[in-house]
Amino acid sequence: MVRKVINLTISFAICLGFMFYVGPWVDTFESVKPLIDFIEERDIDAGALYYTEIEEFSEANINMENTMDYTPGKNF
Amino acid sequence: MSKEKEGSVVYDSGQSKLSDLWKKEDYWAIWLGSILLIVGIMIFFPKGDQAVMTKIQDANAILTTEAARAPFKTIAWHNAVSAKKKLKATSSSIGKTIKSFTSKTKGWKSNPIDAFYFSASAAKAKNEAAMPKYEAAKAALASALNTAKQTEAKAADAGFSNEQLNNDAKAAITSWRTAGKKASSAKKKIGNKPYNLLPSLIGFMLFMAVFFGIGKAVMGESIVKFIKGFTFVFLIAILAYVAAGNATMKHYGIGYAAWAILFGLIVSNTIGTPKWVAPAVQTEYYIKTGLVLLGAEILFGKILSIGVPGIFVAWIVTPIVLVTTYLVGQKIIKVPSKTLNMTVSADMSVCGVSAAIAVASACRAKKEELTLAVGLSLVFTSIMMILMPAFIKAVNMPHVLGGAWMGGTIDATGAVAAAGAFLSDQALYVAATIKMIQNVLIGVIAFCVALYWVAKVDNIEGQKVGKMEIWNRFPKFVIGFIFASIVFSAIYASIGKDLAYVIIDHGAIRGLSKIGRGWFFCLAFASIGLATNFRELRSYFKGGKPLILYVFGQSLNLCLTLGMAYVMFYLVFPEITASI
Repeated sequence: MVRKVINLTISFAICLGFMFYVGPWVDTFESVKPLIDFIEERDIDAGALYYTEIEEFSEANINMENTMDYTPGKNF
Repeated sequence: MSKEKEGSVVYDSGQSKLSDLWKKEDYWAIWLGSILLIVGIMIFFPKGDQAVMTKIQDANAILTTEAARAPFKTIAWHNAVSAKKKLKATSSSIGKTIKSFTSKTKGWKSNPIDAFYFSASAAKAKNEAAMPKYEAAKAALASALNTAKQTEAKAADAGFSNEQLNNDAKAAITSWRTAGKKASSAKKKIGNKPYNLLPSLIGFMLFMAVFFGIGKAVMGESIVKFIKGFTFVFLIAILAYVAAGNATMKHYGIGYAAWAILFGLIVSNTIGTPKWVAPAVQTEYYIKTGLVLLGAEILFGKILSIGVPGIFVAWIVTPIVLVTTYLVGQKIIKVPSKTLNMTVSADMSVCGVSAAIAVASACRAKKEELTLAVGLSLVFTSIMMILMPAFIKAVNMPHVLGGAWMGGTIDATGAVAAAGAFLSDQALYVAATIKMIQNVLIGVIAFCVALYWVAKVDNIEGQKVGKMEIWNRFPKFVIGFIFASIVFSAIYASIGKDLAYVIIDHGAIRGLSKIGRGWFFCLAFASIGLATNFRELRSYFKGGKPLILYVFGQSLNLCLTLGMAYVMFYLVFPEITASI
């Protein structure tokens, strides 16, 4: 049982290590930093599973529908 | 239900009985899901009153006038759309109460306690720290609006006939919109409020325990044992939400699904899932109920959001990629399990985890197969989310084309939003719309897969299956899933897009059914982890065939989607592209 609890603890410790050290370290890479800063600024949930979970989709949908229905420039 | 074995095929040859309606899990998923949908309708539909209709009509009148007045989207045009965007049934007091009671844990950066508790003094300090940035963003917005108004007025004075003045006005309006988004994000950061989620989490846990426990009791199991075990499964789900709420994990799209499986796996493969938890480890029960709710979010009217090009990119290319990948998986790569093949193919070609869940349930895939599909999707989503916008920028690809390409290929919906928004609003709108149309395709695909599996796959070769037998074997929850979709799609079509946005999109769906669906999926993934042996999971990855299948399918997807998007948006319907 003690060994099992140790394994459990180590497993969760690895998860925490990934969250607090590996993840933030990868964030500093030049190739990903601009995207990461952007996601942070806009508070986008990149892990959302479906379109109803993310505000950007609602915005995109309403903009697109109104663009299709009220397309400017038809008189020009 | 009796099982018969002939050759290497095991199939159910039970008969349907009236008592199935209250004894079978599939039907309970339909009843529980339907209850929530009906409650959502009763609460939110009345919010679409005359006052709301008047505001919609006023906004549409402005849109009609502005669309006729100028060759581009004017400031007034955008303001009219913004006015429509603010009309949400979820903004009502009951909507806010439901959101508060069902709230999952909050986002956090360095202190996980922030996921549950945030003091008034901490909220005040955070708001004060963010205030300078908000003031600067607000000032920038005011300046951008001023410039946009002046350039638009100049273009209007020239009767909108001067191309240079028109282009200057469009550019200034785009800058104003970008400044608006920055100001809006900055405003959210000064709006922090104190919270303590523990009482509501405990209350909601008890509610869900009873909600699901009633079904279990009627099906002949102990509600007390179920509720006892449910507390542990709920705890894993909470931990998953906490991990997913970490700012860094949010960046890479590592969401609750992955964490719930991982934490469940850790428990089951170290100390072992306690025996008293077993009655509540009910993956299929939670997933099926969640899928019935997901059905209501599958609104067929949305497939026309971006016109015919969207249908071709999302509804023609996707099934071609799905079927081709499945056939290659069967005949060439020789993936040992058909259900694994189908789940990975759907996950890659349609829309990631949500498609994997629906198809895995429809073809009765093993939970290890779903886990593998989720893992593959997660890894490649993170890679594509970073690489694709960089590539699109590097080759100067037009953003409408780039957006359609990303929307049709990046698995995870959230990652599509991140990648699209990173490029531009135009890319975001196209990417998000294409992905949303693909999301709607889940309903059709799940239904077809379920039908194909019961009629063809689960048979001895050459055996003909009668209609009654197909009905007996058909996963009944799929009917609830499709029925919810048909009902909500019909209501959506009959009341019109504008009112549907208020009472369905931002009413019954986002106000209740989406909330329930998210929690139920999280419980399901926690259950998967708690019931999975890591050694068994490893065996499904033998030979790397699922990875090869995924890479082949995604490569095909990338080529076909780009080709179709180019043909549709630039050769066949250039006028639609010009208007975006």
